[in-house]
Amino acid sequence: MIESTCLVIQEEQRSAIDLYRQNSGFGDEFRQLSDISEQWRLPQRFCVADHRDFEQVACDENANVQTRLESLQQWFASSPDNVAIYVASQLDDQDDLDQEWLKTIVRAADSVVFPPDRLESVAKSLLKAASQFRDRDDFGAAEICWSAILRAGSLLPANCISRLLPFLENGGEVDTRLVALQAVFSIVEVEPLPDTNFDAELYSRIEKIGRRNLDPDVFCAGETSAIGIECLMVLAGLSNGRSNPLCACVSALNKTWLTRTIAGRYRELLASWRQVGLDSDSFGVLKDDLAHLTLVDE
Amino acid sequence: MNNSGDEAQIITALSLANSSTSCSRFTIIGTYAEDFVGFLKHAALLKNPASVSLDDSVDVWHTGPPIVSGPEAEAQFGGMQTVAHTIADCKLRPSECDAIVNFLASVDKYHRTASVLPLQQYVIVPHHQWVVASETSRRICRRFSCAGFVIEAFVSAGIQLIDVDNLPLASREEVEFAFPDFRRLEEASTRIQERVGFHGMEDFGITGDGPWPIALPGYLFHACDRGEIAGAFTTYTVPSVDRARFPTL
Repeated sequence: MIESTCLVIQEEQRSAIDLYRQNSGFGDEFRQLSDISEQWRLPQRFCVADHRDFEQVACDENANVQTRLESLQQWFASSPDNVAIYVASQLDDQDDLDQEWLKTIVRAADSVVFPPDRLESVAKSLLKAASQFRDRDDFGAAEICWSAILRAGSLLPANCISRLLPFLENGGEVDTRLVALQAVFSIVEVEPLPDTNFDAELYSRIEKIGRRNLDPDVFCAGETSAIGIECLMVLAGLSNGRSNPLCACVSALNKTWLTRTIAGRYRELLASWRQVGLDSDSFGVLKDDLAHLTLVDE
Repeated sequence: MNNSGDEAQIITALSLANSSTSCSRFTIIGTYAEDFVGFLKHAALLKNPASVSLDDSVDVWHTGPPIVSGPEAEAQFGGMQTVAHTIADCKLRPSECDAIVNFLASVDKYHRTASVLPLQQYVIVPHHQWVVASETSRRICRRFSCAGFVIEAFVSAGIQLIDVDNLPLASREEVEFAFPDFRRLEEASTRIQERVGFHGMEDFGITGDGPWPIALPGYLFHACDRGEIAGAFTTYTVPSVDRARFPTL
């Protein structure tokens, strides 16, 4: 049965029905899809293989990565829960994995839904992978590193938020600061951290990055502005009754678009916290910050 | 003359001719559907100022998919080009360009190659959406339609091109004009669909038999074809789905 599965895959490859390529995506306006549209009308010449065969091929360490990926996709279509457990276990055992396969597994972590009891371990494994790819200078390493950090941020228990702190340093080949800030914000955006989880070191580091990026001599539109804005929003999320120290930096820059962008983000944050039923005492400081920003904007 | 004493800049949109037209940065570039006269199937943002003629391939930021909004995605997928058939030049001020540059940089870091479900960067209804982790409801990355990407870039600059809360309803036929590749995906074998993570049009917000409130690319060009003055843009309420063609027949 494994052999028949491989035959099907090989036939598809010969027919150039390879819809998605790692390095080019779908291309401009689904060009690849359009180019092969005629081939989609080809009759199905092979029987559909059993999902157990796809599982075997996906798990076969001796198969090439592309073949394993295609089988993983097919297996995912029939058994998404099993694939999630497999992806989690592969991340746990990442030291033993072929590096190209590890990249595939990190990407796959974006698409699967992990069981509740695996969230913390998967998040930690993803951060471990991110640390590894952060120090690499080869094609695609940055994308994998960022994917791992963002997905880890979506799974990490709030009381483990400090695990993202190392990625706020600009060390290694890949700059992870903006992505790490986006990951931290994704945690505090859903609901504020309890006081017991307040991390003074994390807060201080983010404030420091924010002040540098919002400094009038440094500030410019692009990644610098995006980092500055994200720092300010993370401090808003971590506020715990503190007025946001970076609002004064924004006022000093006196840029209408920047103030408007941040005011919009504040409103979104307030709306998100209201959704989880927080009373206004929880975000009174944010309202004060917003009023200050709006005043400057006007 | 406007209040600042400068000559008023009129926002323009036009169907291109063979003679070149000077376009500023972040001009909206439109591409016609092959078989449907005047029906726009794609919209993108011109990467750099350029003289553009009919059928020119120009460098753009856009959602193809994939989303290509900055150097990171560009390094992964290569520079993206689209064929220019129509343009809409909003004569953006420097501060508005800065806001869009910031938007592009933010989105660029969310870019990733999705192995298992490659189509998860794309959405049709609504025009943009956050991908949220099922486990925690936390945001992971953004999805856009091609028009949605342009709309949200302009929103970041404080310009709401079209009223996205009051869109005319588009029929299945119009969806097929605008998204011909999705129709082909619907007709593809189960094996192909599974491999690209295509679980039906529902994944893109196209549920039931329609019609649907879709932000079609053509609307953006009508929004910019009202003789509006740059810096005083008013949101365009799309009156009917025939504005998916530009110019309207």
